[in-house]
Amino acid sequence: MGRYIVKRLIEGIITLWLITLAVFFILRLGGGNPIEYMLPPEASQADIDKLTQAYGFDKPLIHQYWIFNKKLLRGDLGDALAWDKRPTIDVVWDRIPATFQLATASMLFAVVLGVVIGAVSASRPDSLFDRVGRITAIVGQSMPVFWVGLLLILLFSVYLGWLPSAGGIDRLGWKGIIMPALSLGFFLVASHMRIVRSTMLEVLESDYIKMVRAKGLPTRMVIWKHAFKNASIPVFTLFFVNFAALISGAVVTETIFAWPGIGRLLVDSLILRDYPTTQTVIFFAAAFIVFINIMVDVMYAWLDPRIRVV
Amino acid sequence: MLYRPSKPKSLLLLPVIALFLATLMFSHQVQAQSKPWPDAFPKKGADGVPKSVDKLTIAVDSWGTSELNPWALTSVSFLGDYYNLRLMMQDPNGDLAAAWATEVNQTEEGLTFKINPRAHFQDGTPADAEAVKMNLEGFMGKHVEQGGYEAPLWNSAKANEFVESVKVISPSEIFVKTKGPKPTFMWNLGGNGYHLFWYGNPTQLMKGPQEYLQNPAGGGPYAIKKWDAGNRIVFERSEDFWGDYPHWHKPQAKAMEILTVKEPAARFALLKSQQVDIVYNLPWALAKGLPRSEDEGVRGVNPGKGDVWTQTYKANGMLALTFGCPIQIREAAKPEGRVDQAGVKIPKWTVAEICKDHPTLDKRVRRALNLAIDKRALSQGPHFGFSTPIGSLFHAGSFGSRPDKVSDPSPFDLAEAKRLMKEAGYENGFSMEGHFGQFAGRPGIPEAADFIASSWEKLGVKMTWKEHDPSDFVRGFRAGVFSWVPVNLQTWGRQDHSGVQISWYHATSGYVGMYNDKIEKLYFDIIATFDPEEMKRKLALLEDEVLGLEETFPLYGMSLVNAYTDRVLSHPTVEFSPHFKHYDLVLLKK
Repeated sequence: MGRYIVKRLIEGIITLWLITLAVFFILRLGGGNPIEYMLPPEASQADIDKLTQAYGFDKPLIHQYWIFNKKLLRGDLGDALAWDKRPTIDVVWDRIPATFQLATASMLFAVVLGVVIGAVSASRPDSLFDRVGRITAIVGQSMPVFWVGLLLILLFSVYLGWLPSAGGIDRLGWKGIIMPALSLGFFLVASHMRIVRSTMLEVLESDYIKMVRAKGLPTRMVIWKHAFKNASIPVFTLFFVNFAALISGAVVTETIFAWPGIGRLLVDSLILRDYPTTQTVIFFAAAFIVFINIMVDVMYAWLDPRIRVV
Repeated sequence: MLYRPSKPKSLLLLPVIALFLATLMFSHQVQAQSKPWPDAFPKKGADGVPKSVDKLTIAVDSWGTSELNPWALTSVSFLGDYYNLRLMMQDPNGDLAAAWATEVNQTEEGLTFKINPRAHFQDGTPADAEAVKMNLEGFMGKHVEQGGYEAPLWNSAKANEFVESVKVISPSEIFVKTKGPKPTFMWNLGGNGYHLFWYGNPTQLMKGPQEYLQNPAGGGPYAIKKWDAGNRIVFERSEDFWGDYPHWHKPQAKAMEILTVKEPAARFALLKSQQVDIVYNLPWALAKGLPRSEDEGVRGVNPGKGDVWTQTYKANGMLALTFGCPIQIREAAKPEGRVDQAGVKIPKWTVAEICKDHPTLDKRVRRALNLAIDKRALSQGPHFGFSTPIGSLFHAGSFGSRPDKVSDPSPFDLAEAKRLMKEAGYENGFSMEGHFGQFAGRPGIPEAADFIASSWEKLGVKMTWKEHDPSDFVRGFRAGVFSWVPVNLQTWGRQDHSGVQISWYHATSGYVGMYNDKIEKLYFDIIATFDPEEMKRKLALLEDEVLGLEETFPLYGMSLVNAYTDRVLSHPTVEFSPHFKHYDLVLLKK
């Protein structure tokens, strides 16, 4: 098991390094000197040259990448070109709590609702509940997140005046996360509900469940204690995949609700041609996804020893 | 008198006579353009208006660059008005008014400023003439080494172009020696209008860019309580703010929070649900049905006609139709290695393949394409009346713009347009590609592109518009480049002085407008012309020359809508502005 974990960690580090390589060069594929975007049109060529030199953009790309790697090993991802020229790690770090809060709340909503609807639907296939549940899931997945967000704002902020709609938890308190989490989570309910329903249907048809039923256990016990436990592995995987995706930035939701997360930071940095901040956001997001994948793989290997051999 | 350009005594008599005659001639118009501020506005502490309220909350689409340090800005930031200083400022009537400096006296040699002796920074250090000197030298990049800043600072080119030296005469008086006559100094470094320079606390600035963020301690009416770059800023009132002018004093709101909310519908929802008091840049489509204070009573005063009301900044920018092929052909034919009058190398121009034989090289075609656009219909239709058709290169209300020219857009004449196309040999039209960018705070551009495309279809011209990232779009107009051919929708942010704008109608500009040798010569002549009337005359000559080329055609002046909840009693602010201003003068109900 130890060897397997080390192997996966090394693979993860290589993946991350390849990501930095790709991001570094893709960002610069468009050509042009970011300093020219940073300075106003009337800046003199001498000013552009001086600042280009100060930021090292005058050096060949390979040399720039070499410097980037050396700094990376020291934990330095460079200073932002915008955002008060602060170290990019600090800029990104400031935004991570808000993104984490939103991702957690959305996933909580999606999982709780998805699992309940999926499990109950599977226990009563083709019932009214099952049909309504499936329709709800399809609706959730079909409606664009920004539209759901605006509808929620219209209903809960404009008409009812119950919930605030702009800013993070530090500004609005816990009430502020309800609508962003609902609009983002609603989209994810469908995928969770579907996977729970299909795996539950399969499990409920298995012999051991029939035996449990034959023993006379109440339905609730059959579903939640015996069936759901075995049906939850794919749900677990889906949860982590979706959670990792949300951590890498829910750009649309963050824009609608003025949520101060890394999704908005990424878009703003791209617009400003702030390469160092863009690289750092992507690096953090990639690192998180790689970490989650390693964790899931290790967990699978622990649950099923055959995986370690493969 | 606050603003006193002084001249050699022998020349004093002529302007005095001219001023007297002009006063007689235009006295009627002056009376007609009454200035409602401050008399027609509610007063703090009178008639039930609270002296102090807890908080003012504002949602904006953008506040410019998300940086606080005036020496390290990468572009314009509009937040500086509230925590830092300007030498002088515009009052809500748009007149130059005292701020840090109470008075300015400008000559051809330079400017003498009288500094308000009460001025001080929020950490108690004096905001005296020495502080002005430190700031100006900082803008010029002279303290880079000591302060730990990356060289150079973005505004250093401009500061170095204007300032020769700075001399402190006394703690409350300073002389700024300029590099020759600099008639636009007050519009560039002085705080009049589109102020690009905010002055900070030198003690804090010298601590370096990172340390400065811990405590900017500026000299403005608000101190920064919370700064979340790109998202929100919370100001708290500086209780010992020294400003006591009618247009700049201790604000009514103890705290002012500004949020960036980029989604327009979300901004409007914030306003309708009264989560914010003011929304800056409400889209025209949403603003069209709301009560406008300028129509209902006094501009900037709550008309009391419902839960939401608006006030519009006019001429915050403009859009022009610009054909690039003629300039490429003209300039590429000139020899290499030329320099402009300032000694700056003029880049070598090349001609794009498409321009070598393009229909728009024919003046008749360009004229026909312009005549086919019904600018009034564009304004009234897709722009809901929030844009104004114009006939000038210069912005309405700016120094040097001619009101008759501004309000006289080129005519719509489809029959003549068709005749010209036929005469030029393009009776059946042609296809071409156009380019535009969408800029924050300059609404209506994509709608204009669609409108133009459908207008030109009537001439058989099939348009494909390409939208570009705004930064890319601006960089495509660099001298020697001019990428956006054969046609583009060139947009200009407001300049309150046309002499500033013409710096782009010039051979080495970073955002080239149309020019030829005559315009180039006029440009250098104008920027060294100290007499305001003479400058206006030359600006008119330049404008006539540019428009005569028929390579660029002004389309419309834009506007920006500020929307307010009923809680806002008034927001006295200028009629013309490129961005939000005077939020510190907003008065609220409890």
